[in-house]
Amino acid sequence: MADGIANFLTPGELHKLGRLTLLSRYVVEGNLAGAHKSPQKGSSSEFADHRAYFPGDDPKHIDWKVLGRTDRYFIRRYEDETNLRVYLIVDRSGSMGYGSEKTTKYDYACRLAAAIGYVVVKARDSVGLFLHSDKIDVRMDGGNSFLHLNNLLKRVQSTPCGSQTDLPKVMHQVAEDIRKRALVVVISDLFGTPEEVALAFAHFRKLRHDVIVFHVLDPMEIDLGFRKGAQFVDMETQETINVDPRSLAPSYQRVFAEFLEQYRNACASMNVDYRMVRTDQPVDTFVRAYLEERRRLSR
Amino acid sequence: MFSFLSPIFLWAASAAAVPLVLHLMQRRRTVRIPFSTIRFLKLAEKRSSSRIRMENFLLWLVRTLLMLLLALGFAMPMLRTRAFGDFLGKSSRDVGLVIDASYSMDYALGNQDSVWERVRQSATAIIEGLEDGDRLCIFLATDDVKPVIEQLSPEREFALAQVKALDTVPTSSQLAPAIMAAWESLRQGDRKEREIHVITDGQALPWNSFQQSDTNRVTADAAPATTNAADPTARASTRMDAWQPEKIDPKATFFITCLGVPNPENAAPVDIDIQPALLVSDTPSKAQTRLTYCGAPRSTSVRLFVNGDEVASRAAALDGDNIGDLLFAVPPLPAGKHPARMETPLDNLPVDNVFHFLFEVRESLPVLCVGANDDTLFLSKALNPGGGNSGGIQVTSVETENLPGEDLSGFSTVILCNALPLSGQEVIRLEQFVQAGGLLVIFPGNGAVANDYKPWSCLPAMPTRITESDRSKTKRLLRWAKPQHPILRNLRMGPEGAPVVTVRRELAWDTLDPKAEMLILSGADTPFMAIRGYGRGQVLLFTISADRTWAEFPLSPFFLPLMHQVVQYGAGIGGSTPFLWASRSLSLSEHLPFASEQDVLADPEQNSVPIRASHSGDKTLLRVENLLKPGVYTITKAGQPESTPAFAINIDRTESDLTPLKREDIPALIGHPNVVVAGDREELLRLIKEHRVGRTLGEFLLWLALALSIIECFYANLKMKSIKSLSETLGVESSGRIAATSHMEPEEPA
Repeated sequence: MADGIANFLTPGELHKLGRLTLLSRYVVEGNLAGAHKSPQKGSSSEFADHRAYFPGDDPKHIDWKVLGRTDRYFIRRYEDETNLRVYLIVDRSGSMGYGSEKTTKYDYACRLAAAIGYVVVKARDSVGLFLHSDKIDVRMDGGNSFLHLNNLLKRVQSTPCGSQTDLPKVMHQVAEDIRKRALVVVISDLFGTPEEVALAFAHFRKLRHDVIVFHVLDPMEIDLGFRKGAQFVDMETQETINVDPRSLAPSYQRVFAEFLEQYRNACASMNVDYRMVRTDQPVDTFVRAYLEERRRLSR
Repeated sequence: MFSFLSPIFLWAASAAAVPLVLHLMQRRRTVRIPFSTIRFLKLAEKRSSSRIRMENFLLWLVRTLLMLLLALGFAMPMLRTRAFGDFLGKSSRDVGLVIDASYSMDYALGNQDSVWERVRQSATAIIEGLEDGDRLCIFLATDDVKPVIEQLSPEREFALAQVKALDTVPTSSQLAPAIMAAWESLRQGDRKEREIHVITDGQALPWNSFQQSDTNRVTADAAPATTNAADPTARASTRMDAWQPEKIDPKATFFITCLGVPNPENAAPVDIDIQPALLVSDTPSKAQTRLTYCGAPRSTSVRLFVNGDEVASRAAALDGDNIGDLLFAVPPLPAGKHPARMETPLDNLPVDNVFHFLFEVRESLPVLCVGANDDTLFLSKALNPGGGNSGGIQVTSVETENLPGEDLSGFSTVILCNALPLSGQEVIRLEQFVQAGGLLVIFPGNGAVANDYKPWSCLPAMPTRITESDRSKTKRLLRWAKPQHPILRNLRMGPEGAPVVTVRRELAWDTLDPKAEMLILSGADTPFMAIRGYGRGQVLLFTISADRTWAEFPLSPFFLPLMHQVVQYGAGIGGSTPFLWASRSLSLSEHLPFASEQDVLADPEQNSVPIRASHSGDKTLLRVENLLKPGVYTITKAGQPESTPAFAINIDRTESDLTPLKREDIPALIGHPNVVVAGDREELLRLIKEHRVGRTLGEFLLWLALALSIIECFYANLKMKSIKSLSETLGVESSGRIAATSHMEPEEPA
């Protein structure tokens, strides 16, 4: 059995993802030089602004033209460019273990995390991981090497689905953990209380993180397409309910649509990039389409 | 009040519990499905549980009702349509059973089944369905009414035995007289519950008498009863008894059972015409048969047998209900009577496939020419051009004064050429000759004036004068006034074209006798030749003489063939007909004058047929009864070992036309308020049950069940209709963006 990234993505899929980049819509604080805008002033060729000269500043940064016009010393400052730090927050709660076909939502989330991680590392940006159920189970700091990515994915591979979930609490913890501005990628079925989860997202945004939410759902969860009446067992609470899905489907879909709409509205209001992902959609196709669109919108 | 025709099906009503049982079983056999969260299921159920319950309840109700209706429908509940239905169902009744026994009832239906067999089964079912105390009379409808059980009788076993012994008769049938006879018996029974059951094959023919108006009835009654006319339709018209529905109690009920097939097929030869009418030995002849056919178009063949040998065969295309003629060439036959038959291939009604007849061939045609040698010269030469026995015509010429010495019975034709005036005794003798079946031909001449014709009472017209023709109008074109008359029909004209004769003098009259008809005109409307039937014979009167003194007709090329036709016709009219129709009584003296009481008459199966003799003065009249068996009958003269063909009998072919009557037309024909029509025994029994007990609601319930099942299908489909899924409503793009912006809720099912 393959380990690491090879367990989640085939060479063909990796090839397709190779040329893609994940750009942040906001400035990020990295610790290495990179291709992303930094809040710091640095040494790039992009002019930022002037500031008054203080003793100790490098005289080569004095703007001599301004000195000639105003007879005052000003220092030219340039934009700093840094690397992107991406944190993958993957939900491993019990509900993520559901899959109407062979692939469970957790499998799909892992593959999606691998694909995003690969794209990030390929662009020499760093990627970190938070794996959680009702608490943070796995935490890995950012790294920009494939070795790091491979180790990260090995941890994911070795961690199965949990049982309970407390998404808002975990999100708040993660938000407190990430000190510098980064790109936060939440991969979850978001089966928490939408209002509370939205508060957690707001926490991220308050800390000026760029947030992407991948709402992973199974087609059966969306449409309730079961044909026969059955006793449905909640995978987290083990509660049961007897229903005839065919007669209940219209009501169910209305309820579920309201649920989605709540997330969608909350994310839109906070500038959180909300995307719904169906587990019957190929991962590489989705990631490719998503990143292409994101790149197009960031121009 | 209800009772059930098939109560066994009431057990099926337990199937009404099936929907409930299925529902309960479904609940018990619930499958456990792990699901990510049931939070939304709970919310959805909370919102729509009452609606779902109502829908499920309605579906359960509809399905249960459907099962109940099906069970009830098949159990055939009977609704009492009258008060005291039970009592009426068991009250005593009188039943008249009329069975159509014409030969068309022998129509085969395959697998050794026939319409007649079904008639027996239906009649048996009717009798077996009677209760104790019910009485029955049975009548057969044939060409006459034949009572089987004339007086109402409660003996069911006896009636069953009688029905079992019944058989068809080779005649057609009329139902009206038999129904009237049955009603007469029922009327005497004096019971309130009276039923008339008519079992027939659905053929239109037996119902003809129901369409007769009173005028027709009077005409038919007034017409002479001819038992053996050559035209079967003419015979049918004389025996129709008018239908009188007003005489029948409106409370009585008619049960008409039509057991025949909807589109029967039958081909049969119905008539024969031999040309010429009288055959002379060793001369060829022709036989024309008329073929009737009903059913889908197809082809068939007709074969002619003479003396048992097939001599000709013709194919015929039968295109729908039609009548067609087929002409056969008959080879020369020796003198004598030759049995022959036309035969069509075996079909569903084989009894009318063979048409029997006789070729009667004479050695010669004896003709007597009366008149002076000069007057008969041209006629003698024309009738005997070769000097020998030309064409079988044997001419005897006598002077007028020698006429009393001649025995006229030896001649078929007597021709008077300028032979008038004659003595009153000779006139009477000649008129008796005509009455006996001879042909008298009169050519006028200078020897007689108009008054000399007055003693005659058999002439086609009474001459009033002899006129000289206008010089400008002597040349006249002869025109056939009756081209289809046997004399003219087969007349072969010469190559000269239109017959033109020169007429210088002619006999004239004012009015033609009502029984006479003009055959040939000269010019526009001047009489030339007229004919009148008198007794069994005919009188032919020319307006010109037989020599050249009055006209050049004897020298015209038409004279010879016309006179040959006249002689042959004259010989034919007194001869015997080639066939007779089957009848219950035949005057042997009329058709076989030479027969005697001691002779032995045998039917086609060589069984002896008794000859009845009745004496009237010095005359002995011979009759034969019940000549219904078709075929050639033979007669053996007393003291002679050899038998000779006497006559050929054929069954009445009117019945061969199997054109069906529409069932829906029958009540209107009968004109009675209570008429029910059945197509088979099962339907008949059902209708009887409905009438006696009540009307079944089975059909209504089944229709209701059908309507309910349609509603169930519609409703269940509507409920299960695949609504537009949320995935489709959301319109999620491949990048995960949700396209729907304003309204994300899926559509509510209609």
